[in-house]
Amino acid sequence: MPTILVVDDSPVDRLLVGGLLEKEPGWEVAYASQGVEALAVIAARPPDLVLTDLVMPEMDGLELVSAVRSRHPLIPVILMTSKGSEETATRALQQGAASYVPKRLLANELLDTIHWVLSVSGQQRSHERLLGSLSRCELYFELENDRGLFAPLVGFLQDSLANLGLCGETERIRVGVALEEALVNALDHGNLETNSALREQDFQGYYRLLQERARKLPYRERRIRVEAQMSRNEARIVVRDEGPGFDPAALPDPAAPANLEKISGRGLLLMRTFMDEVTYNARGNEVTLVKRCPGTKGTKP
Amino acid sequence: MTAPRKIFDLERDGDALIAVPLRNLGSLAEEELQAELPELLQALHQPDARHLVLDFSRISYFGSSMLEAVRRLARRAHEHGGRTALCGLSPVAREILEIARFDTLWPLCETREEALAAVRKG
Repeated sequence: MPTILVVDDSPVDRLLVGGLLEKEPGWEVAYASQGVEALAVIAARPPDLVLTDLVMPEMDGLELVSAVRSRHPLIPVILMTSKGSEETATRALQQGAASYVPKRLLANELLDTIHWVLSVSGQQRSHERLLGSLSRCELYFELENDRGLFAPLVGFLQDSLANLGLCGETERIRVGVALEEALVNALDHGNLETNSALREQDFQGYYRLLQERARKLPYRERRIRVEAQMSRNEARIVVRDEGPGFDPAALPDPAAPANLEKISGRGLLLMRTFMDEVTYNARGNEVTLVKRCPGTKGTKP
Repeated sequence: MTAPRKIFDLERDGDALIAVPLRNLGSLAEEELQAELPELLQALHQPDARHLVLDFSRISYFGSSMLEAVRRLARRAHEHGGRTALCGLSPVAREILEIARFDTLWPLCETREEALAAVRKG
């Protein structure tokens, strides 16, 4: 039985809208006369949908849309607009309102709009609940030497960590930074075989060389393989390139006072700091990054 | 076609250039960052812009490419007799700078005002 919260500072309009909604069998209607009161009602008993006037004292409909989106992202908000407020309604949609209905068309359009929005939001909630039930996943990617694929991949893996509930937002950012560094190392220093010494001397030459090699054999046909095994306790992400490999032990310590001005090794330092475990294979072309949920050190995924 | 977004916004405060990174940046945007650096380095070449303040308040994290950019920009400021300070850091951004031990090279300040005072203090 869906509950709809009607927010309007006009008692007459609340009565009018409530009359329309209460005709629908099974719908329950709650009321608030302004935005702050609406937020308190939502916090106490979250409705399935918020239907709000746009122009109200204290907190207007636009501010209410932002507040609901931020605090209760799964509750859709529909705005009721008056003549001349179309521009504001557009801004409300940009800020995350699900839809809007002009007040003069309420009798004809309101119920259909609410049915449609409830249907879409119901699907979204089911999707969220399903993803929240995810307990383990394994993902395999074979990437061309295309830097443009890295950001979507990192974002996808961060979303997977969130769905698994493995770590909070700050830890996901740390994992993202580490993973980005591993991917860029795999491309630049692995598949394209460039080294930081050149970047230190001539950074423009370094980027020219990257571009040239990305077009040339054997570099252009090399791939980056990413394997991610993730559970609620641990994420194990392997990034492998097809370059000749390198000896991570030979990298200077970038945090040593003498090396602070050098480029080499900072990416690996970030990886080692932000992950619980970072290991290379013997050839040096495959790095395994491990992140564990606090309190599960050493457990298998 | 959409024009590429700028990575840095540039402002002036007297003898200080204030560079404000506008978006979270890992190493993924390294080429864009390197493409934009010459403009910043040039801005620090002007005789009336000696000091550099890097204000990170618009972003929450970055990677090694930004560390390298900070190093290059600070070096340029130093070559022209200026000083560098960083401010507006999120906990993760501060952690990244401390991991690289950049906090031993330049002051990490809370606010832009503190950073401006730090570069002018001498």
